[in-house]
Amino acid sequence: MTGRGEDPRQADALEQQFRTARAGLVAWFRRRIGDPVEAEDLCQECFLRIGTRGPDAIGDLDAYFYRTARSVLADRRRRRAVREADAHIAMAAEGEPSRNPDPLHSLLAREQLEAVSVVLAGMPERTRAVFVLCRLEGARYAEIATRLGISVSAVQKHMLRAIDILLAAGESA
Amino acid sequence: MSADLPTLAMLRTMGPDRAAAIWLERLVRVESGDADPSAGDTLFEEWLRDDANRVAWDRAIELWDGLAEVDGGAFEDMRSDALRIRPQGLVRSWMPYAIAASIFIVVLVSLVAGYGNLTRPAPDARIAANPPAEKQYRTEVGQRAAIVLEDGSKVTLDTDSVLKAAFTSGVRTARLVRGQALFEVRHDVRRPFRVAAGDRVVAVLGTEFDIRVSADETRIMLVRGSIAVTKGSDPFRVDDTGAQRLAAGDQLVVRKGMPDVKSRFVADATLQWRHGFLQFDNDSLGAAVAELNRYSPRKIVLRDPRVAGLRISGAFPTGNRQAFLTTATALYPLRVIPLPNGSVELASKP
Repeated sequence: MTGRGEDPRQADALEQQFRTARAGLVAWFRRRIGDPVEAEDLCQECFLRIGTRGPDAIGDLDAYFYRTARSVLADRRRRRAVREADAHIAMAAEGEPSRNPDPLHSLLAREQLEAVSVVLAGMPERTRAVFVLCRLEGARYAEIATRLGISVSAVQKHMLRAIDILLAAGESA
Repeated sequence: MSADLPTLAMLRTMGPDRAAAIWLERLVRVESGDADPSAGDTLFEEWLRDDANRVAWDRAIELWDGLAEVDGGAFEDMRSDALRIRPQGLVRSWMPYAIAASIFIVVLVSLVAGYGNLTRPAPDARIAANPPAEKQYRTEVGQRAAIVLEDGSKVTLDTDSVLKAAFTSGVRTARLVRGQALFEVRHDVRRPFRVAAGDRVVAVLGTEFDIRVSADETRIMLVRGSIAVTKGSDPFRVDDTGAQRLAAGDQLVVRKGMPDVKSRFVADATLQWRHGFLQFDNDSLGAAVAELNRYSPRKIVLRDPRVAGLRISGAFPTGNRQAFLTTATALYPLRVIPLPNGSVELASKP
């Protein structure tokens, strides 16, 4: 499944890269779904999607793999939701991967982003800052601690509080 | 970090959402390398067997992963606000000699010359005839280091930097051969502190300042207090005539063959590097990439001048090239082309 007649050496290189990233991806899935066997399956699904896409214009491969993994996981969620929601809506989406992972496309719908934004805005300043620095700027706790002049365990507490508030808000929405 | 894990009974008492928050916070630490990835797995899988818990967890993960790819504009205000927050107790911890101290930054930037020029050492002929023994400090590309000089002054060296310090009983001198450094100088009226960078010498008494050196531009920025900048490259022999005084917030840009340019600068953004961040505010992609490339041997290459002219804002961790690439490709129709040496080219989409 190299797809679209790509240079086979490039496809090999991609496969090689994926093999290197594989253990990390399985662990990533396992952390999210808790089931080691299904984690392996989803990782395989990832690989198939990458194979059909072809390695051109991809850029940083690891980032691409995880982007793909996120959309595989999102599709799994969709399939499950469909299965749980019963027959009539089900047929349209069943089994059909919604789309290729697109770097320009956010996995959260606009309304969801707006809701998150509103909840974040209502948080205490430092709690919000910790969450934003961690999730949106990719900073580690130690860096955040230095930036804000607080301890790492205080960063952890803020982070937990932020997540707590976000999840609670989602529940009541 | 298994000590902070709750028991299953505790998780049940707090309900699905609160428990999901605890698990998500743990996942954050595991994925940043701050927590043991295996601790708590069994407990997690057991907790997840409950349907209500699974629903809560799926929502938590959907939210978390969904925020991985938000486009550049979303949360813009919150991001810049978060980056603007100053450390609590900054004055206490960073400036024990606050009353007499001032902060200035000297930046020597290569704008035109190629990267190779950055590594060219300052010509030895510029050094005084009989200088005292110099101590050398250096960082590799991507490194940052905190140094305490023999008088107790502190220096934070940024990526790919070389600093030489030579102290005598009458004067403390340093030479920033290349790179960038932030100085927190111990107050000592009898022993002035002077730093040579390019063909300027910055004289201070007690201060905190930051210097960056490269081939053809010297940039000196004063954050607090007052400093004098003189022409010359020998910190032992300073001619005070024609010294330029800088006030807090002043920036002096010195380029070969050009008149000096004095302007104002924004201290917060410029000093982000010492916390491991680079901040851009409507800067050109070319300038931003040149900054980021200082921190990694794996460069970002821009060949297309139209791409280099695009504008970018935001703060990026210096050790994380990907964060920058993700933002740039989300903002503009750009693609990332891997190059054989681990560098990447940022080009417009065909």
